Amino acid sequence: MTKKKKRKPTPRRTTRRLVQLGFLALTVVAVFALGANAELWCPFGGVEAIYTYATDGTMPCSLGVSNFFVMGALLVSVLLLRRAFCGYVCPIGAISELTRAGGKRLGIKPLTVPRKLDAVLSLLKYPVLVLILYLTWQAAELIFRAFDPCYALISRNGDDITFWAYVVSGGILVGAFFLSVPFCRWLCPLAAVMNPFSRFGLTRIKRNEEVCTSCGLCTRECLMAIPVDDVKEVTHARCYSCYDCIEACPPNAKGSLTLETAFGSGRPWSQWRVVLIMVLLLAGSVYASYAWPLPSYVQQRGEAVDEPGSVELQILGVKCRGSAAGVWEMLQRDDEFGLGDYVRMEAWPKPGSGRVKVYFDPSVCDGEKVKAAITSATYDFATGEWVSPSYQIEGYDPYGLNE
Amino acid sequence: MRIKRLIASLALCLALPVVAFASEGSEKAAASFDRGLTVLSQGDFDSALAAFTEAAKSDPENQNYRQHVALVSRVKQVRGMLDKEQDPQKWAQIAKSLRSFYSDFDVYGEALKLDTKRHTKLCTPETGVDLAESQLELGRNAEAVKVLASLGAKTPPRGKLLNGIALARMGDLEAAKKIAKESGVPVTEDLQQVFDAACLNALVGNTAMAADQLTLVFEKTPAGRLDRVKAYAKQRADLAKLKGAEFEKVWAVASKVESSGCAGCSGAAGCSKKSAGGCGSDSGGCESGASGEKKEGESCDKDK
Repeated sequence: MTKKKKRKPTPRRTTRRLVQLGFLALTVVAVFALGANAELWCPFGGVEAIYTYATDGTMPCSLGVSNFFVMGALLVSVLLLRRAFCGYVCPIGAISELTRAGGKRLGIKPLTVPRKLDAVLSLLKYPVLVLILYLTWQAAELIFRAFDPCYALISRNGDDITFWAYVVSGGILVGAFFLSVPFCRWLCPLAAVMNPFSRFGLTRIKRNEEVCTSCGLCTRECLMAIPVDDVKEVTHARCYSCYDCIEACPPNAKGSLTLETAFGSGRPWSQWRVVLIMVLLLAGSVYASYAWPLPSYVQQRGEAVDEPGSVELQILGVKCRGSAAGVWEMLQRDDEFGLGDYVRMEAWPKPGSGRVKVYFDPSVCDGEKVKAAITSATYDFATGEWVSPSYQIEGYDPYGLNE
Repeated sequence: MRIKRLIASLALCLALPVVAFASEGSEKAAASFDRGLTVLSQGDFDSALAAFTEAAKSDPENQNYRQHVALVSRVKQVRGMLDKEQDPQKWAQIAKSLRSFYSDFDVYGEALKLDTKRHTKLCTPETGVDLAESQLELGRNAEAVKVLASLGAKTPPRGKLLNGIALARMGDLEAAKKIAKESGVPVTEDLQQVFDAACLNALVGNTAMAADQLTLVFEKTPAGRLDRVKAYAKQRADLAKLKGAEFEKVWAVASKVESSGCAGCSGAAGCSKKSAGGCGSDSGGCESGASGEKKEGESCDKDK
């Protein structure tokens, strides 16, 4: 029996690992050092927010329109490169692979899952997706944040992380120690979204049967347990475009596996092209988020007037949909702080303070009235309770508390 | 190694005063806040506002202090508006909002003055019950009985319970027991009514029933308010019989009201898409609709 050779780092493996680490480091620095809101850039957040944005004009929790842009970039990348996002960008994928690498260093051999069982387990992600989306859309809230491993591992909101999030994260890490990316293969709801598109991905691994020696090393090296040596073209939805199978080819079979387009001329795609496309798409989504900063919370009362007045405020405490809704409720008052029949509010909630723009009829209202309406206490006749808001508007100190 | 130790020591020396200063600010703020609550319950709004302002300045991170500044400032404005309001409907709404505030912060001296005016002007069962409640809070049991008696057949369930409490305090346990028996177990979402039932049952010796009712009140109170409710219940003399060792688990009951799982939400029950309603006149409480403004010479016991 041939002794299994130790997998050596190759330029392409090293490149992919460096790209993964680069994106992971970027995420960690952005969140923990620069205070960025990781939730705003999660592509799955875009999936979760589709329904509420379409029906209500609002997005759950502290999601923003950037989630849609990133989701769009992701879907384009999937149509081009299948699940390259998983293999090069996703922090959970990176952490899972690093954990497996750590296990390997400690001499822990990966468990082999029979193909049939693997196929059955792979179906689990679909009911997971349906359950998450159904409950999220029902509640208009990120219900599964309490279990989300990304939120637990990469969020700055340490005091909000629940016990179950740690259980799920711990389970993923333990699983990744003994298995090859089990969460990504079997449970990831984002993978369930990507797979239908990935099936029709433009690029695929092609096997030249004339050069191939059927050694089976490609199948053994495949992170996603795809039987590469059994097929002429890898059209499996879960292909990472990671090049591990290509790198695994022995010297006497080099060139038998290449990444090409479906209707290509036989010219292989280099890994750098894959990396470049991923980087450009994601950078494009970030650019689009800043170039077209659509509000993630929009509400309106009454018919718009011809020339509305407006005031733009930076409000401490407008960090999510709930707090933006609280501001909107304060603008509904009809006591002496009432703002007239027409009011429109657009908000960009984010941790810390969010931007809010309020439009009104200038013949009955002005910016000072808007500020007073947001910050003055009011009696809610429906609940029989006084509501005293905790919002602070930058540059507005009606009670002299900042003196 | 020596340099590392030196850096660590320096960091500690710098951090300790910062921490000490911060905690001193918090302590000062808490003391000011407590003082504010005390003078507020005595009806001194100006001193209360000054104390809350001091608390908010001493601990700017604490949103609760800011909220109290905003609340008392607004209530002071509303109090000024009440005297000037001519429209009976608006007057009733303003009075109702003030009454709610007085009740929340135990300002029963002011509540009594307001309730006397309200009941005189509006003469409804609700205003009668509120007046009786204020009188009971101030120990004026006989006056409470008189007001509730004037409501006659229109006495609402809560009024009957308050009547029972007043009678029990005055020593008429037989009458109080009769009321407690007739009232039974209140089937209502009004936690105040359940609380009153607990007080009445405790006074007449039905301690088991009182304990169950008090447990229900605690379970249905949102977590953010439970401490205040328990503190109020503990100082209430009517519940003295529930303070023995056998009732310890009642006082340890936790809230069962679901709070939002939303990380950004400060404990509200869910992130409802439906608006909770603002300060709208269409959402209840037009007290003047029943009897209108009292006419000259007309008394409030016209149903007797």
